[in-house]
Amino acid sequence: MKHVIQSLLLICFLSISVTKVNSQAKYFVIFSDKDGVSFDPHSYFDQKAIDRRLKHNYPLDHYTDLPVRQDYIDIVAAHSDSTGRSLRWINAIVCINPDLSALSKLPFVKELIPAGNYTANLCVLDDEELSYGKRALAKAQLKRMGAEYFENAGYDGKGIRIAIFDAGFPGVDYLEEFEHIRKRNGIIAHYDFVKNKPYAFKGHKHGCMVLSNIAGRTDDLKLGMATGADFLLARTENTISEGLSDEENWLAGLEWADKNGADIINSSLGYTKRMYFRANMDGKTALITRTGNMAAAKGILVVNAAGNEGADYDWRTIGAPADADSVLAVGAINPWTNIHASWSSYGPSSDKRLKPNVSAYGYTMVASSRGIQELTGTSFASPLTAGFAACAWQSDSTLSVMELFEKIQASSDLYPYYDYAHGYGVPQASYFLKKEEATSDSTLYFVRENNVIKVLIDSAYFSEASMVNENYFKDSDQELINSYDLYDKEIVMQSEAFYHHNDTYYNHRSSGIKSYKTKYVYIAIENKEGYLDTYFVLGVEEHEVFKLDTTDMKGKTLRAHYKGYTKEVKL
Amino acid sequence: MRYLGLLIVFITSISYSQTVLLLHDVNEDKDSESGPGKTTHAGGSFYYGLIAGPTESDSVPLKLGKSFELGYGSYAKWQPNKFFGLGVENNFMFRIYSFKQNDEQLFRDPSDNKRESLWFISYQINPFMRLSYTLKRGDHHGMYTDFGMQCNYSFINRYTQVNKATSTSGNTRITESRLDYVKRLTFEPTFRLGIRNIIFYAKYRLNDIFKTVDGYKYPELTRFTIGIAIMS
Repeated sequence: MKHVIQSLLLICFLSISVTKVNSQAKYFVIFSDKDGVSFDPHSYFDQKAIDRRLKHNYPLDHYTDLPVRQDYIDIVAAHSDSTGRSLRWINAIVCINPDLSALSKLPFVKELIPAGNYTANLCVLDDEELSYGKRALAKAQLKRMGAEYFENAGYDGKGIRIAIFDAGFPGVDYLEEFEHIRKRNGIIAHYDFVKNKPYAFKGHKHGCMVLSNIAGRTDDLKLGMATGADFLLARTENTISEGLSDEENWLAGLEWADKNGADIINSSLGYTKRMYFRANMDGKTALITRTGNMAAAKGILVVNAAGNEGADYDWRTIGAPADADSVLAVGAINPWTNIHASWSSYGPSSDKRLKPNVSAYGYTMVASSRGIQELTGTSFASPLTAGFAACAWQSDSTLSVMELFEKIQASSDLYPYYDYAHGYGVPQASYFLKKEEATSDSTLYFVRENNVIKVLIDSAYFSEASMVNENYFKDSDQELINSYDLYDKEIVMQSEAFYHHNDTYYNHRSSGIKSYKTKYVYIAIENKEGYLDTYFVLGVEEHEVFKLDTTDMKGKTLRAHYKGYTKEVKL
Repeated sequence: MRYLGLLIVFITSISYSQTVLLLHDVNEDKDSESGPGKTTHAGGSFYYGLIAGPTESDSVPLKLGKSFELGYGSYAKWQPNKFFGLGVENNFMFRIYSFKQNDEQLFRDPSDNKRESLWFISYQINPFMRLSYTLKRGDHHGMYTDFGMQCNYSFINRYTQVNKATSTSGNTRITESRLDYVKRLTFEPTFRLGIRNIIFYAKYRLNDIFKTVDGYKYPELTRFTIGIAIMS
């Protein structure tokens, strides 16, 4: 009988809990106008925000920056149990348990959008501490993007203000890896939007790790490039879903970051199937996607993790707000194979735009209260890119957001080749420091034979020496490399493993496996509508790498990339 | 099939002489027409429930915890809007009633046995109505309640009795199947409370398990079952 009573009590408790949550219907009430409202931008905005707007020729008192009309808020409050934040950018108020029929009749109510009940996916997978090899990977994660070029030129993100939206920042206030930021008061502000308190050094350590990949460093080891940047830390996500938070916090954080003068926002979060359908990833449906585009208009570059759903066949694509046209979506590559990490979300967006835009290492060394450890996820590819963007912007502060966006894409190692696993590849710092346009040698060519087109590697680039991949670990401590078993030892890359999106990283970790060091050729077939039908990455083993029967492919484009050179042909 | 044909034509028109490290056929990435948050969805379910609830006055006392049900099946759902849906579920269910052996033991054998149980393997069909509560729902179940009527047809039933060893013999087991005093068809209204893939459920058996045979009315067993289920 005791068991029965306990079970019944459990059912009752759960029923009450669910009923309680369900009884709280939360809506965004979007208004039609802001007539008669004014504000003083000089008292509202931080000076850095004013400077940024002036630089980007964006008005200080733009319609979207005006506060929401108080009389509208009062009327909505009268028809709701309670009201929450007002959101200027989307001209909305958040309310609990509104009288929907009454609100929908109000002439100034433009839209009623139910708020989601689920927090975002933190784009992190593993949490595996390594006992060796940390230094080699930490150096490689920056070297892969050519960080030494920025460092040698003295670019460390100084003067750039980066906002980070995440699940908490415990440790940022005392860890050694952030001491250089604290010493110069580089954390300009921090706010917990989950608890509505100006203190963000708590919650999940994910944000702390993300910050470390933008600006973390010890005396002799850098984990991110923008060690000289200033920071705004916003806790917008609660890892234990309490419901009714999520996107609202992100939207509020966006306004807060804008107000406090952010130049770049890093968001290693993604909203996927808990709130949306794949078809919604069209760059215009999710509120955070829409506001991500608004941020670009206001002079803020939003860098967002593409997501870790590449191996989740129910979703597989990017999450919001990475689908926004003006948000730089960052995918992940595997450091040991230098191609797409199997779990990194694939593009394109549901309306077939290129996503992710670029890639960076998705296995990185990060700092947290557990020390420096290796973690996995596009969560960490994104801050590496955000730090890169800060240095790039510092190198040419005249760039507009979209110019910077496009230059980051153009700097990437596959550009102008692209695909939906890598985007344009990994951004390269050297691009921003070159005075002249770089030219690439022709490394491959096409041969037509009747209806067959072949892709061949130029013989000058088919020698064993020229085909060996770059070793981004080679300048690291040799002793550590040897112990880490990173490159000189054997890494297998069997076609089956990649075809089925398994991760060679784990193969790498197993023993007795074989090395694969040759260069890759990237091949994509673009259709008449301008998006890719299919793409491949092939390990070059023979002179003739690929052939295609073009009989049914009239009007399509075959594009191939090998060793920095891209060639295309109309079929 | 049309797309499969196109894919075969496309793939056969390409020849690789190298190791394929990554291949992505973008046209194969299609949004499924069905899903837990979409109009139609089909999935699997796994149940574990405890026979529970108050014992009827003339009932046989049960060993709670050892009287349980395990089920596995599939279901299909049609949900035309965010709030309301209809579905049907097919399950195979194993259910066992383990009897306490005490002074009140009345079932089949008045002697104090070592172990005594009655078990069923049944096919269940459960039409249900779903009310969903999650306002903004992507492709997942959200929070919901289901109201249904479970119809059970037990196609295998068995009674087992293990008698205690005596000084002259070891334990003896008596097993009886095709029980003529057990009704094969029973009906149970069900209530389920679901949070994403996890379901808490309760059900109540409307009709008796036993028939009256030769004027003898068997004691009725506990009617309530509560449990937990996972639905894909």
